[in-house]
Amino acid sequence: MPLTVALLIGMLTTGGTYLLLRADRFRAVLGLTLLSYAVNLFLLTSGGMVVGQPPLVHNIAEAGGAADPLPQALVLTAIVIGFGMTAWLIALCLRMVIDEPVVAPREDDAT
Amino acid sequence: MNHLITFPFILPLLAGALLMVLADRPAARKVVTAIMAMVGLAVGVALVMRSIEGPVTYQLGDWPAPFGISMHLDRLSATMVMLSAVIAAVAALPAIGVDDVRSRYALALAQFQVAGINGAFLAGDLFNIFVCFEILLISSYALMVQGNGRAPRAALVYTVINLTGSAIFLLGIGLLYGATGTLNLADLTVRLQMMPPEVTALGVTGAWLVALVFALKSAVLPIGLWLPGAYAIAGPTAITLFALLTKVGVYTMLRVFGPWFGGDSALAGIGTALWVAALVSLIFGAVLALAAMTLRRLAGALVVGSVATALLSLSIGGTLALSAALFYTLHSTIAAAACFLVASSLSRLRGVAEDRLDVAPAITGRGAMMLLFLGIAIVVTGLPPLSGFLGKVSVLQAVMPTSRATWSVTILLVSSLLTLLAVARAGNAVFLKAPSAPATERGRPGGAITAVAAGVMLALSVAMSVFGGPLRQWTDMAAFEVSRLAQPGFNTAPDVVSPHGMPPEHP
Repeated sequence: MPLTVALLIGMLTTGGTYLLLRADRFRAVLGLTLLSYAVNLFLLTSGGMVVGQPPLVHNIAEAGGAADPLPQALVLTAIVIGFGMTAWLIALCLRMVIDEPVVAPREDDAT
Repeated sequence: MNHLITFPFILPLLAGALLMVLADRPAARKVVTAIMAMVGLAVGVALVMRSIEGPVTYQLGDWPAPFGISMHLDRLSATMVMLSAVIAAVAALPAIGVDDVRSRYALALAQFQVAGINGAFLAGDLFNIFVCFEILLISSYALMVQGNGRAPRAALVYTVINLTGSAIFLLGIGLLYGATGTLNLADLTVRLQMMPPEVTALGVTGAWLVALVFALKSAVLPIGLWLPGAYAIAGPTAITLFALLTKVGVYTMLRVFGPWFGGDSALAGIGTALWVAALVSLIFGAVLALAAMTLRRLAGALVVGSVATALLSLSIGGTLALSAALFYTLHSTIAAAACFLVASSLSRLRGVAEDRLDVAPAITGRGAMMLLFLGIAIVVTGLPPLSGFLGKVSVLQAVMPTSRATWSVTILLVSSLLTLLAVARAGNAVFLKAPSAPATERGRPGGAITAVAAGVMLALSVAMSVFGGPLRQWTDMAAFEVSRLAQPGFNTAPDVVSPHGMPPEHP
């Protein structure tokens, strides 16, 4: 399990960074989205990898263990913020596309 | 009255929501903004008075410490909230006079941004600093393109850079939490020096990542190239508030890492890196100022240099240097806001010439504008007798006794000279080369009220110089409160969180 998660975080970060560095606005949006997935997974593991345990228990001895609730709360917040930011970024990119002249010089297309 | 500490965060949020509802009532919007400016100042004064009695920690909703959201007030955060209230009150002038006319949501966005800034100053833990960063950033993205008519490329660069910064910030937060089991700022400062050896590498990496993000926010090189372009496209309200944005980076750096700099802990390396970055930024800011073709670009370049001066002092470490850094930060915010406002005002008064450094027909009120420009030039270049001079002397005093004195002093003085040249050149181009014939065309509206706001900033700088002694004593005490966290044996709340973030077991 830890290996799977580690590989997944690594792959998402690689893909995200690659897309972000392409200097194309819609690839940058996708890249940031992948990067934020990677970061969210990473945050989730920051309290230690605990599988199949509830985050909130009455008596920790009776329940036989618990997952750390704090990273879960952090990830939830990060997801919501990331969602809002992605929406804003897409709106900004669309606005830039609309503002562009219809016939643009070829070299400027990629920027 | 402990709930007072939440006011600087909650009141602007409520006011922002109200201003959104009032989208079709321009008069009511102006009244709400004016009232909020006054309330903000009153709350700021009340918090400064409260902070004299000692630090306050407030648990939102009365949840116990490791689970609830905590807010923290001490002299440092009270000073920053007061500063933000002053800037927000002055920014309300161009907001009402200029931005509100161009976009009916500008006033609401300004309130949200103030809420985010104040939240970051008062946040008691690292994650809430992140959340407040996002609040202030998303409103700054929107405020930047509001009323512009189109979305410039610099806005996209600014957004993408800051979102990448947010991702790195979260990685750093995750690492720090994994290594220390806490995100509470005071706890973190204490625990970072007693990490078990097997997680030290994790914790130090996390600290470097978080410091990198703070450096990004304060626009220090090599990651500060986004600032001049982004600031050149923003409207007058946005850039006045932006004078505070870089200071949020400086504040968080001071709060979280300041106590470590100059010592021999594992985190002192961050201070050394910051010192080098600050020196490079000083040179870069001065060159950028010399190369600036417009007043707003010039103002952006001056901000880069001015923040770098504060960070230079901060990176030296120790109570004296931290106090000088805080004093310089206060000066630098006022100076930056004054620069942006005067640039914005001139751009409006000059009509088609805008703020380009070309010859243009004489503006109305040329004499008064020249005096204003001269005063602000004195503030921003650090000539005596205004606050810039006091700030630079404090920084030099803090740097002198250390081993880094030679490089710091040389580069600081050279960059000051270059900045002086740049500002003199701009003043010459805008005022002295202008033909004395009266203008045939009228400037865009809003120039006068923006000039008044710039005048208020200049008056504040004069006040800072007059009350420099008491203010310096205050920053000394604020710096002492922060730096004593790094004293060996100082422990804030030993029983708050168990190691590795597991919830404490119930007895």
